[in-house]
Amino acid sequence: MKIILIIIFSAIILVQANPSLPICNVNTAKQAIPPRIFYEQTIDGKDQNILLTRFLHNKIGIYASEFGKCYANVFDPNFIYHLLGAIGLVTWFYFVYLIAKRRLYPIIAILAVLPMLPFLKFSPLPILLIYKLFAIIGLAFLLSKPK
Amino acid sequence: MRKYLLLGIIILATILRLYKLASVPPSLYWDEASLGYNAYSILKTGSDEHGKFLPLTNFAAFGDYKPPGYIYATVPAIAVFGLSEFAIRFPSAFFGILTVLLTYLLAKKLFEKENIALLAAFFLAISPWHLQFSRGAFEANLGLFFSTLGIYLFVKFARGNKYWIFPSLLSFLAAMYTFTGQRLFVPFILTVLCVQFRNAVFKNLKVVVAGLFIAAILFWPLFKFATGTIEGRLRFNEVSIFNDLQPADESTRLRTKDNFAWWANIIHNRRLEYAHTYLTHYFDAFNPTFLFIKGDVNPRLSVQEVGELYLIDLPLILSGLYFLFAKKSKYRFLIIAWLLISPLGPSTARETPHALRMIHILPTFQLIAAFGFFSLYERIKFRKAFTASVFLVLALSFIYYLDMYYVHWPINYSTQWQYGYKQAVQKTNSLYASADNIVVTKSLGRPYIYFLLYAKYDPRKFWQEGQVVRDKFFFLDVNGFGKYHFVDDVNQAKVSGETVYVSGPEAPKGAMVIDTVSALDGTPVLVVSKKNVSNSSRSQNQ
Repeated sequence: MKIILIIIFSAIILVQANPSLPICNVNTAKQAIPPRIFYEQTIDGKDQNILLTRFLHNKIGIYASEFGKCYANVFDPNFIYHLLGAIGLVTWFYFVYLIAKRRLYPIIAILAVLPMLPFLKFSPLPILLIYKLFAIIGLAFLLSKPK
Repeated sequence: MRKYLLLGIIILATILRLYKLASVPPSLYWDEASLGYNAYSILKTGSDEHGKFLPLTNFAAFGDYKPPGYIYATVPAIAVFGLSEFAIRFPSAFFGILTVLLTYLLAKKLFEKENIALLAAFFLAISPWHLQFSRGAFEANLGLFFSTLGIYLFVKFARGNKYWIFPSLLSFLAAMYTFTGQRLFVPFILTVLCVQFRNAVFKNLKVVVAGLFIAAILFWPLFKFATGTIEGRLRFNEVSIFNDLQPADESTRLRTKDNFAWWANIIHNRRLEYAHTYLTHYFDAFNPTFLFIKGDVNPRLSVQEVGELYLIDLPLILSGLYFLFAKKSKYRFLIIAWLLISPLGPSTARETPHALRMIHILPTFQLIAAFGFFSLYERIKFRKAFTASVFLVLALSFIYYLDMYYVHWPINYSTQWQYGYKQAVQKTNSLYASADNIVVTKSLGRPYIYFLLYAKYDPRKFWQEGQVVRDKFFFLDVNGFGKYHFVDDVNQAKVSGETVYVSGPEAPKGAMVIDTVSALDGTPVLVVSKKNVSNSSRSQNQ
């Protein structure tokens, strides 16, 4: 019975349409810097200490913020939901919990590095496939969990 | 030492919530102005702005039928501080400070560790999410205080004196009378609490039933209003995704594509489409960009450049979630369920994620982050380095937030707060005696409330003079009172004699400009001008 359920739910996870990620990469991050830095430094004005202005509104900070935005897109629950469906989303999270609990550092590293692909303008296809795989493995573990 | 730490956190929370409260946010938004004037009207007359005596379930206000809690809470503040921005926002700030204290008490009860409790309170004290709503007259923030108090008292009931159930239920009731969003949250959180503390509930079933019976009686008027009247359902119908026909259209489109096959009717059922839309809105609540990078897209609800939480909170929350399960924490069900049920109600609305409507998710993130920090601290080798690095990053994030909040945000978004009305009213007040008419544009939205508020207009006079109309959306609008006329186009106003105009960025033809009110970024928003309008020139204009 469990095997049948795993097969059915895996099929559901696999047939979900692949959603597209928002366009967010190294180029968009670079483009965001000049207008933001100009605008933010202008508002700070001449009266504020230049060091404080530079400290608060600098290229590195803005670039990091843009990078964070791109990175976060890959972990957006809505992206995962549209990719895997509601069941897939739950089993994906269960899988993540399991790898953290069992301290499977290589898999944790893969999970952490994956969002770099679209940021560096590579195809996001590996993310889609690996997430589906993670969800199915999570499903198998969840259903085969002893009571 | 720990007592001093708690005192320090409360002082910090107080400073952060009260410093420049009247001027940042840069001006009163129309809802704040409405709350303030209604409270003023209650103080002076015992009735609301429309003359209804001590409203119990709602204040008609703009026809949005505001819950009464915040307005009544503002009455003492206005009595003490006068009708001012500070007084109108004070209840939110004051109860925001108390919520920080409450977070400490709740965390202490749940985790039984002083350090976690202090940390959770500290995280809430400096939280961008909580600060944003504590510094504006947001009913949601007062509602948050009441629901958190309700949860805390329920925990006290379950772990001690059974009679705590009565104040707990009263707090939940107060939350529902304060913020509309709480009406969807309270039933869910009560269910969660009953499941978490089922043994205590069954053990004291008689007291619980008695408490629920009393609460039901007190809730009945609100329930009748919210479910049995058009006015009560108005706001929900306006924002609900279930009144959006797009999912139904999508279902029809897909079924048509499949030639209305029997299986297509099942797969593309409109109920499933609505469920899919609902789930999409639900998961929006946990969007990392919203939570950690940019915050709410509405510039009134966040500073736009900082998330609702700090980025450093992310690893702490993730580890907190992990350790709640891994350590099999006693109250993990309550905390996780609280986190997960909070977006259930707001997800029925069109705009998601919405920081205001799901504010009752606080302080779960802070509780989890504090637990995560403490659990990591217990396990880590280099404790001092870990603590120092976390607090260093937190301090930098906090300084950046303060700069964005106090320096950048008011300038960038003053128009979002209807900046300009106060200055325009002050100018027209000085011309009031010499003018026959004051014509004000409606282009910035609901100007009448600002003229009532800043002119401290006698509510009794307004009841007699107010030209209140109901628009096609069932909202209430005011076309004039006294010498004031509120119109869509100032050039079309039917007035004669010495006339003062408050118009958009351009003055009416032939009028002499007296003053131009600019937003904080320098954009002109309102122009005060005057002109003597004779009957003949009026007919020429038309």
